[in-house]
Amino acid sequence: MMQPTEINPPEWPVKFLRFFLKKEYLEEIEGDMEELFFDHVEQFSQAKAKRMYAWEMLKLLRPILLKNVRHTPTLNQYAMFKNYFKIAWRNLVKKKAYSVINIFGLGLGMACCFLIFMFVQDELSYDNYHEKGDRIYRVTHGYKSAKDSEESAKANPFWVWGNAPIGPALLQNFPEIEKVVQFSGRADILLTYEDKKYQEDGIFFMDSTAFEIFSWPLVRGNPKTVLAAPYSIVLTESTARKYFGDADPIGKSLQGSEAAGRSNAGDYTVTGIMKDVPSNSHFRFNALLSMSTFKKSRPDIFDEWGYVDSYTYFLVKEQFNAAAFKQKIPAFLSRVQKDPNYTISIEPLKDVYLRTSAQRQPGETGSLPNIYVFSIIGIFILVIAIINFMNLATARSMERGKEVGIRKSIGAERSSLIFQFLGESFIIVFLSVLVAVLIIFAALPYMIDFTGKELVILRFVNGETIPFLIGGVLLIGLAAGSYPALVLSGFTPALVLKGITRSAAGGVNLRRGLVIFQFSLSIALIAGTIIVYSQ
Amino acid sequence: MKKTKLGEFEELVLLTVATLQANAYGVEIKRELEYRLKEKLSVGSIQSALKRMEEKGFLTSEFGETTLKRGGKRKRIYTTTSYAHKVLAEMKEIRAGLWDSIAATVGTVAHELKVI
Repeated sequence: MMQPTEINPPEWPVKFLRFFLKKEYLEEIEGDMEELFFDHVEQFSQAKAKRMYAWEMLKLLRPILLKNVRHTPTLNQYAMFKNYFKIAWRNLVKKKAYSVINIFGLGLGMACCFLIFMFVQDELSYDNYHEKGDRIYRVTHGYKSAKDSEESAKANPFWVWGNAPIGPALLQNFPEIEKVVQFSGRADILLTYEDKKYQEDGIFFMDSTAFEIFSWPLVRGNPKTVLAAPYSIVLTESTARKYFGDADPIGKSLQGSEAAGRSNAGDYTVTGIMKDVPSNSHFRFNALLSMSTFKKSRPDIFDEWGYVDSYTYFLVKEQFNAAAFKQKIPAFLSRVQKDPNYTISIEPLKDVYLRTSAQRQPGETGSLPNIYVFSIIGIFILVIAIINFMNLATARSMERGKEVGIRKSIGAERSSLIFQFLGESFIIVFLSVLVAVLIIFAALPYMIDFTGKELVILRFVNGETIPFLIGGVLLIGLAAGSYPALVLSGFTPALVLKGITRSAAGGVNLRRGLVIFQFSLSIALIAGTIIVYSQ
Repeated sequence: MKKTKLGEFEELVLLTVATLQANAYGVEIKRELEYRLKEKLSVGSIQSALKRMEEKGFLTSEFGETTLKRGGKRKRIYTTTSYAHKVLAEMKEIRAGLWDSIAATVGTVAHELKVI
């Protein structure tokens, strides 16, 4: 009977099946499968029969055939869930004041925390949008006196604003520098188009390399040439709309007044339209004029090392070593100019908003300590809100001792009680989130007024932050609900029903501790605010 | 009709069991139904239909003999219950009634359906 080359169905699917399927079905189904397998071996190749066998086995995993899956457990639990929700709801409605304080308090805490989070995120996001950002540096200019360098650094801090010839000199002397862009200080100029006249103060004269270094997308115009010719102007979209409405501005000319010390009056031709500069940029503007305009009007100052009216940024090649570069600076400076006290340093773009110590910035700067302070305050507020929630919930827990006692004597397990009370706190946390969202939307306009930032909620609620936000909410629910859940579910039914709450003493101690902690945090925050305010 | 809760596929399997009589076990049912429907069926779909109908009381089953191909494992022979027969007959009647009323009211529609 047994042939030497016996063909057998593969073993693992059977083992797999024995693990999952109900015992009473195994003999029949295994037999059926085996019979089919041998049918298939006769019809197809052995490999195909084995493949079909395994595939059929997988398809046998159906609820009705599986072990230990009862067919109506959902109905039973559904009633229990319904009861949990009913009880939770009744408790909320019964103690309205308590519920409102609890939900509103937690919601306020979360809203404050989120607003602070938005502010901090916005501060940290400055200039991150530049694609070549990690390769952009800028020059800071300083004067050192021969003795005591530390003190002179304080007396003569570095300036970002500096002379013009440093730009071309850097480009010529350092092969690791790919491109240099220079721009003037903020210029004031009156622009006229037909009957529309505006005094523009957010304008820079800028080199034509700007669009190859910074990631400012051009809607119209060639990034390489828009700022090449004298008397060219590139408008941001909103500026273009201001002057031209919906008409096409390219090729039209704007009559420009004299820019004191920089350019003579003349007609500027619109060569390009760019997207508005993002609000999280360390300097912003409404329009750019070509640097060649400046050069044509005042050619003398572009060789003058002592004349200060330029910001110098540069793009380096991939393998740039900042430390090595700084060591070459003294030799370079003595080669290209005569003043022995003049020195320069460089700052990477990622540091220019928060970590710069230089003065005469092209725009506003932020403050790193402020960010730390705000983050800490945000976390404190949230912690206070959570503690407050825990206190209220624990204080009320004693009233629910009887419920716990009855549930337990009916046969509720501790785990299901924990589940119930945690679920209740999650319901409250969820309602608080709704309140928080309302508060955030209501407060956002004031926040934008106050900080002068363009905070758009969608920028902070995206694929990256949503897991953190949901995780944060779950964590709050868990932190706030765990203590009441554990204490309540630990009651001994007999004692509770007799009216003795033994675990009360421990609860009171913890609550006292929490209240003290909460008040100290609040006092610290208030005192800190008053001190900072009065300074 | 509503009380019986017999699905379309279940009805087909049930009818096959009734047809096969003493030979109604898993593989044979699958073979017969595949031949009639002209499509491949999985063991899982047949088995779950059988078990479901057994639970609902349309089928009973007992172990039968074994063959060489089955490696010593017995077949399970399914038999339709009288309740199943009653339900099948009822369904047939309801369908027949519906077809009759279609023919009576709108002759053209019936004609079209026949053409289809």
